[in-house]
Amino acid sequence: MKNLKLVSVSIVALMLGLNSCQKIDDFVGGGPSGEKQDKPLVIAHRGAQSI
Amino acid sequence: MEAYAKAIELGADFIEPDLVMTKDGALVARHEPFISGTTNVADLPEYAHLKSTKKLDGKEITDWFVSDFTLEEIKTLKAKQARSDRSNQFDNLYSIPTIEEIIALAKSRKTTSGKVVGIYPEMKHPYFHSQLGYNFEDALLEVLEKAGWNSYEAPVFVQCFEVAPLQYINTKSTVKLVQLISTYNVNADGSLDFNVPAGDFISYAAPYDFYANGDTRTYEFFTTEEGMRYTANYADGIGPWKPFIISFAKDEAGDITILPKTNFISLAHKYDLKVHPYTFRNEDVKWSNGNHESEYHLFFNAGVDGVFTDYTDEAVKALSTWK
Repeated sequence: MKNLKLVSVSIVALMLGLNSCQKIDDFVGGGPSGEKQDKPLVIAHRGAQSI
Repeated sequence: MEAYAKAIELGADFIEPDLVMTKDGALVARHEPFISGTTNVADLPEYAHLKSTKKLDGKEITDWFVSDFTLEEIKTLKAKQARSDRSNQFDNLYSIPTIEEIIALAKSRKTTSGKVVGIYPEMKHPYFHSQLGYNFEDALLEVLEKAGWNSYEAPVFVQCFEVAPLQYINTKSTVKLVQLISTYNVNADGSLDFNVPAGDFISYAAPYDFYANGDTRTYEFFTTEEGMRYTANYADGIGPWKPFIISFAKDEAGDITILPKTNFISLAHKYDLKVHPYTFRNEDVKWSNGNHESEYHLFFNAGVDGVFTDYTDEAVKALSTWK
């Protein structure tokens, strides 16, 4: 775990009333909106068929 | 910009710009600091005097460098296809975008599933830029801050092949970070070769900032338990070239055998590191033998958390048929 970030995120999460590590984990590498990731992300390398 | 817009239209979750710096400190999207291969700069006599020789990650390059151009000058150039195995139909039509323009595009669109479009900027050669007097990391953070995207929850991953820039950002920001790793070559038996011949780019096999500071560790270190633990101290993910996850052997006739997956993903996940391998492209058929869908499924089944692809439509299609 990335120590510094988890501390700050944990504080934010507590302030928001989020009460589980699972919720925090939802943000880590999750979907673009921070939702839980349920499939691999599609990352467009330099856009489509790069120019 | 047109390529990023097209990728969003095709279903990308994130658009990935590689970033380099202009003479006046703007961050623009080019794959390398030198640009004769991806722009029409060599055709423009007014810029002939800007051709120069610089050392980049241990290799001398004679070319036109973005760092010798102002943003205004960069905006007079047109992009062209770098690969000889792709169409040139879009050559000399489109300008080079800034990171601000790319963020504006992302914010103006939604993914095909109605979500926020993310950006996945790569800091290209921060050490090289630092030697020229630039602070790449602060420049990027300033842009993200202005965009309101300098946070852990923002739809942003910042990636880099160097280590210190990511570690620095980790002390300044909570934005998500990804350590990229590479290898010089794949040996015939499928093992990875981290030996770079003299005069070639050191960064093919080791973080250049490590090398420049006398640290002899190559990217092989990042495949170990110690390396994963080290990376997890500052990053949220790791972006390996595909053979780190599933390698291939090649016999004397040149025939390819795909090898079983390594323990890379399980080790990365043990340390809560997301794994986003690069780069899936139709022209590279080692893993697919021409069946692109099967290549994506191979890596999806191995447990990757995302894929860098030149062909967004192929990745989206493969996801739709993946069970």
